[in-house]
Amino acid sequence: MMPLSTLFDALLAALLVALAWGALSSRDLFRSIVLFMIFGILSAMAWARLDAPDIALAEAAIGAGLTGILLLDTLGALGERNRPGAGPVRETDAFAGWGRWLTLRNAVLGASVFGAGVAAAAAASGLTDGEGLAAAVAESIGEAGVSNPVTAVLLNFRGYDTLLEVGVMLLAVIGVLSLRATAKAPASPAGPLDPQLSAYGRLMAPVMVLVAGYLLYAGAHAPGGAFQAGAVLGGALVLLGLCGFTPPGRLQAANRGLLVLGFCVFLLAAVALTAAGYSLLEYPAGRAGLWIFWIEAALGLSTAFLLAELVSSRVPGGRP
Amino acid sequence: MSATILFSLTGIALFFIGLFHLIAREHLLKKILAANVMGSGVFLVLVSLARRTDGPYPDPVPHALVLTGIVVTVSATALALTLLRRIHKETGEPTLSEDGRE
Repeated sequence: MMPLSTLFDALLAALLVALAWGALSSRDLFRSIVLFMIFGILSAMAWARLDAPDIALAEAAIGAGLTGILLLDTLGALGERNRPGAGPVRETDAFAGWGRWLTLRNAVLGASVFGAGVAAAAAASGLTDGEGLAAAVAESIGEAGVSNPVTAVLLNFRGYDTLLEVGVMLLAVIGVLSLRATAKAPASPAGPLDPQLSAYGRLMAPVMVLVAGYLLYAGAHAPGGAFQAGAVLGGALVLLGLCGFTPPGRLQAANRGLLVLGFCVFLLAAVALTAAGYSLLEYPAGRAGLWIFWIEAALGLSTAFLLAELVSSRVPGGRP
Repeated sequence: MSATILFSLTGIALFFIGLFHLIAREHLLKKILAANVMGSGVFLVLVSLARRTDGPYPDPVPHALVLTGIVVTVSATALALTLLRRIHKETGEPTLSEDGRE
């Protein structure tokens, strides 16, 4: 008899595969996106099962939440769902016009299955218990300034990865903003605000700010950290936007500053430390915790505004 | 079967499901979804392999890598979706087909 946890894992794995297949092969794009969002939530459960609570938090907030909003928003902008008489969007097959679509399609399918088989065989035969870098991290965690090993890797041992990650996020936002420059966002919501949504926003936004603050603070010693906090705070900003809350002019000007704050603080810290004779992003002994806290605070705030900036229209889109 | 092997195999399956649909679907929104599924597969392999440690705690380095990956994925997805909107606005089609067939 299989233990219950194995049964649960097997069910979870089967559901993940089925949802991914369903999301990608559905002919209705709205259904695809909803299945993909459920896939994201179940992924978060898989992360929790794999002892990765930090990733589970990030996946739940970003993978399932924000990505879903982005996708639905785009579907609404494409307007395919609303086209009169169009019905569900017909998904055409890339090979449909090629005449011999059956063989070509099967060739790609066969190659995928073959590749998956080879990779699975390699994984199954090469899987030996290894040390990994867990021991090395455990050895140096005392001088990292934080006791959560994931935060220590992100902000201390491999801080330059995180610096570049924030740079990538900033670049993506700059790209999105410049592409969007021509398309004017509607100045006001396209209709009377839903009082229920509005009340929900009022209720949830302060709670989300509180949760974000806690995640940021807890990241030093427990699952959490700048990106999880930023994702929750970004979610609060998107929710407020959906409720029709428009920030006053002064705050809008500060918005651009907040977008670059995290990257600038991180970069300045790196430059200052290098100038002071340390190697890149090596913190002064005994002071690492303080440095990491301030860098994380700036990163969390920036992440929130960057993620919120990615969601373009502040009015409900998607399903009519 | 241990959870490590089970979820690595699931990750591999997801990667190839995504790869197949990335090629086989014409609608760009589907292609973006497929790329996301491929990414999830890679993350799943990384995190399940991180559990192969002797100690009670998994290897935190792949965890940090995946955390970075998730944030980069959402940025790239947002940029791709904006490009899709622009393509749709310019051509009226949510695809990249050259002969303009339906």
